[in-house]
Amino acid sequence: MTGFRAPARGLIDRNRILSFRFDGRAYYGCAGDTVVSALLANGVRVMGRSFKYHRPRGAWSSWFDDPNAVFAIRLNGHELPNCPGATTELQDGMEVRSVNAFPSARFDLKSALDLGHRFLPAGFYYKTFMWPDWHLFEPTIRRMAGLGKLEMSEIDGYVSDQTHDACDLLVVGGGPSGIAAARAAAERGMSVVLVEDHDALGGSGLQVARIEDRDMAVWMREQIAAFQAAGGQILSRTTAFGVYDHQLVALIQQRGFGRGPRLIRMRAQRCVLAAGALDRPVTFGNNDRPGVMSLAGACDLLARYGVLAGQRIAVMAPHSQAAAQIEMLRDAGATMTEVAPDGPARALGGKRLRGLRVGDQTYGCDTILTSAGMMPVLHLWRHAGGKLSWDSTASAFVPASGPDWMTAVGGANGTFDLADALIEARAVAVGDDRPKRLCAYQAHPPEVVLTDKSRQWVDFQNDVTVKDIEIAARENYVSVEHLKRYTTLGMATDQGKTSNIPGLSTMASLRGKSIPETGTTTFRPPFVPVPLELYRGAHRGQQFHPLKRLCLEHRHRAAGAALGEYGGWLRPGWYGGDTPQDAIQREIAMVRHSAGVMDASPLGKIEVMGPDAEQFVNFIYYNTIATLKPGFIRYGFMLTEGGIVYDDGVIARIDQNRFVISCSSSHVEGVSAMLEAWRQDGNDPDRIFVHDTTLNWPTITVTGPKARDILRRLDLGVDLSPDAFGHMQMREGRFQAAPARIARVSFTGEVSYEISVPVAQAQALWDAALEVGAEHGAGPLGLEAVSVMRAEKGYVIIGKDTDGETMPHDLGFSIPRLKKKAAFVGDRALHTENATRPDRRRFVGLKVPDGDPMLPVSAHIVTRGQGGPSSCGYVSSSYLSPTLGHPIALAHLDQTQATEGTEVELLHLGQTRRAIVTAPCFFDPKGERLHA
Amino acid sequence: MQKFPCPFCGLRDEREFRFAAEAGKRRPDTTRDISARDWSDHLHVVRNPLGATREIWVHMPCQEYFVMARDTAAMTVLDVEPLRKETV
Amino acid sequence: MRDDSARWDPAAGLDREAFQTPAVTLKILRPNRQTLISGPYPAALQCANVETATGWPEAALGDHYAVRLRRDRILVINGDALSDGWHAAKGVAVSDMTGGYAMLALGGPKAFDLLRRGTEITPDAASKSVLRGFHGYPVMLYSHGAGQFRLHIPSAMVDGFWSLLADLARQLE
Repeated sequence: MTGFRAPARGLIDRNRILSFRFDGRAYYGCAGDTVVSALLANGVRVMGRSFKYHRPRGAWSSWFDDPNAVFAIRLNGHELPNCPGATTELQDGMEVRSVNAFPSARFDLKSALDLGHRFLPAGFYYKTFMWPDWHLFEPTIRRMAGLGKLEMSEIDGYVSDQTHDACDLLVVGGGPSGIAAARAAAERGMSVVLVEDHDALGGSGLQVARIEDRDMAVWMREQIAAFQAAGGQILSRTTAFGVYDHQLVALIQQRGFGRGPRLIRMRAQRCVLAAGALDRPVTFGNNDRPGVMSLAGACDLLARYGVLAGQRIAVMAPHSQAAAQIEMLRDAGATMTEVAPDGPARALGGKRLRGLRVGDQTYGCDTILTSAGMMPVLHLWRHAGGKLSWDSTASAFVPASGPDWMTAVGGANGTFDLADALIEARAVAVGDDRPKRLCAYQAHPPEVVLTDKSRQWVDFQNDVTVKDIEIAARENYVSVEHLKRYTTLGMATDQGKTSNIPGLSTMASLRGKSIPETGTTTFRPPFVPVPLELYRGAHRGQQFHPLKRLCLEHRHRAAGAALGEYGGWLRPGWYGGDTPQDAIQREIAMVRHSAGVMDASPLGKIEVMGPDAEQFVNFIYYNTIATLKPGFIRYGFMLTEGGIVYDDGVIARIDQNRFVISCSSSHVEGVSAMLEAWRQDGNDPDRIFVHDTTLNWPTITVTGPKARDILRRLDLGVDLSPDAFGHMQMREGRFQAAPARIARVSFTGEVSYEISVPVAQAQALWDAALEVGAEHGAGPLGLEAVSVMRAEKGYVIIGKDTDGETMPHDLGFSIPRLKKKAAFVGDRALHTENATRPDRRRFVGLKVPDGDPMLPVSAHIVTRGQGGPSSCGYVSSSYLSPTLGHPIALAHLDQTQATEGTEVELLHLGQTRRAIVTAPCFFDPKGERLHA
Repeated sequence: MQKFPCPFCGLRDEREFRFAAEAGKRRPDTTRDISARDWSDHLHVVRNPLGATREIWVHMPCQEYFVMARDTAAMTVLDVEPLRKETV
Repeated sequence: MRDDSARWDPAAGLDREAFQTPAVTLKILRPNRQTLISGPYPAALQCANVETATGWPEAALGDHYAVRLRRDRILVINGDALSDGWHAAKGVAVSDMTGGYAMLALGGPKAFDLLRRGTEITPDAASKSVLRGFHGYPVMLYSHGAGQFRLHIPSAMVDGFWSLLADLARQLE
């Protein structure tokens, strides 16, 4: 055993024993352990394999700076991959498996890869992508890659919580500086939130015996109690992982293994960054061996978990804080040997360390603790736009100028002396000037030397060595951003927390430059790995893209409707249990011979009111609306300013100052927004008002030759005779003592009435229309049949039979473009060079030769030239028309080819078809049925 | 996530806002002749400067269109101004 | 052309039992009338026969009140019956919207925590309008006395919105 539990140390509960398994073997830990601390306490050193060479890896550190101990963990039926062992709390019954290793971390078959390391140098992926062919390697590389497997069943039950919060002051980090800052601010009356990623507050303060002349534990208790008494809020197990625009700090709060974490979007007036510092690894030969660890990490393991990293420890830590840390470990019973890194160094031994060789000297040890200096944790500072400056005494990046709402204190500011840090934290918290430090911290990291003797690791997880950086430098990938991508330095799950500075200093040494000249890569959120689930939250299942629902949906379901999404609504596509094709054909026949009853509630009912309404609607629409008389309806297009057809609909005029716009069901929000934008742009908004009343007025459409007979029985109080109530007219009537609006418009080519009533009357109207209709052979009608019938009539569906280039004259509506005097949206664009091109596409119908099947939608209409076929149009809609007994299609075709009767060639997925150009309207072209 | 001050509702987060146009663009009188160049400039050309800019935004819940001066590099809001002058 | 009936829970609309947990209670309210009035604010108030229209965070009280939606628009709850259309003498536009919005009452000790899950809201950041984006849904949200809130949602969205609130409520501890 190389590691052991020191007596009476740490925050763990030694009376609560937890059992767990690692790679199949049983172990025991204590409540309060992490997976890594428990494994170390059991003497387990090899915890995984590196990504590329499958080298054995042990824990480098005790918390989020550990890149090595990544596990797949199963507990209570949950199995999660990618669990960082150093930050995963141990629980009773955990089944822990190493990843990147088969059959286990100790005996990994792929470790033979390590022998072939000469063939997997930096740039391996870049080069294999280029030559000979990535696809040769892809299957193998994909199989080897990855850090565990995630089952779909796991995802289903794993749900994060997302919330918003705000505070005057957010303190990031619950060490002594953070606690002192939080208390000082709270006692000044600020609302303060203190976040700490561990369960317990204390941070590096846990490693000292006394703080400000008090016993450490007493000091902590007193400070925390005073903070809470002043109204302060503590969020433990919570990590601030990103800073976003306008002072939004993203927090992730852990809620236990297998449970989705919580995302808190914290809007902070001010932020004190007290995130502490991390050890910078010393770069030396075989420094990736299990047992080579961070000095600060070893101290943290002892202070929190009572785990002593080793028994015979060699320390290479050339900085001024190391003496106290070494003393702490010696106190706990380890034999400590301080080694000055004044020559080429190399770890001796394999899975088990035997010693450390520096220059000609060999030091026997079972553990090597290193620190080339402390690195302030400044990720959030950089997210917030803060600058860094290189402190040559500390050999570290420290905060320079930054955003005025964020201030770094303590270790994060390079203030490593505790007394200094507390004074600084309290001053900053209440807005006072930052006092001068009393103690000077110094670090003298050894220069990185390229050697052939042994490999020196820079990125432990992704297997980037000094040699790889040398190759990158040689191949001119000297910019740090290029270096990162060429070598994968800093691209592992720890995102370079430990590897970036050693990598930069290596590059700097190789090029004879300083670290600040070499530069840093960009720090991006998230600071710690977060599951994608964090960002999903409740946006899942039916909440991913919720559909609008009809108030009569229960009636449709009862009638056997097949419901589908149509323009953001869940609507009946067809009714009945037969095949969709049969149902649709049956419904079409029903409408053509009797009538259909359809729920058209989503149809827009946007009211435009006010003394300027007439002039306004006239401006919005392509068609002239100003001449429309009350009680009448007009079909029209709404264009974009670019002249493109945005929507079609009917406009009804109720009285002098009131219009109702029935736009497409899927465009109600868009049309409302467009109307509102124009209303507030160049109009007097007190003289025009736009109300979207769509949802207040469910609409039942009765369509077919028997429609009038059915309506007569509904007692609507309206004269329905064709002379009194013609096509494209509107009447106001009553249904069961409630107001009803009846519009005679048609999308099927048959006599149709759209009856809109208040929600309270909708069901009664639907039931009554079907009950009366049944006597005539009428029944419910779904949207699929309607879309066939409208195609038989050559009516367009915007977005299906139009695209981003379609102008109204392409659809055969040319008169307003030529004659309308008043300004309207899109008018100028209808006369550009593009709009008047002689080869613009025209909307046409297509018939196939007798016996041919339907044309495929999106088939290209082609002409044959010297360069082969070239497209001159495409099919936008295609159906088998039961009314006509043959296939029909609608298409856009170069108008020079679009003469009726012309035969055209179509190509689709290698098939050649022929068709004859016709007018778009296939059925009742004179409109006798429509006007009946 | 940015916060924008709607002149009517006060500070709300960016999910409630949409960009509408650059400020200062006026629709030409299309009942008169407009050269193709002028129309194309009106329709397509935006200055999109790096730094201080004046734009029309809409606060979607209350449909308030307003002028927002902001710095596109620093992501700071410099000023907002309602398009309608009465302040009830 | 696909039958997705089974992928969507049948819509219950307004016919649903109250949702109750120790943290929150949620129920459907059925006002007699909801009326949209647009026009200059004083004219709209006068037409609605109310003194003021509620914003955030002040509370609407009683059963007859108005809430402010836009600079020039209010929604009147349980007001007098008014005819739809343009009221030239008052200079306001009126639309009945009784069936257009579903109205929900939210209470319980964690009601505000629930609201914070859907929108960035604080008890003190004032807003003249009660309209907000809430987890993508357009809602009206206002206080109706201490710890009590009311929400209006376009009626076609009440099924999704109700199940969203229930989902979010399960996250409250």
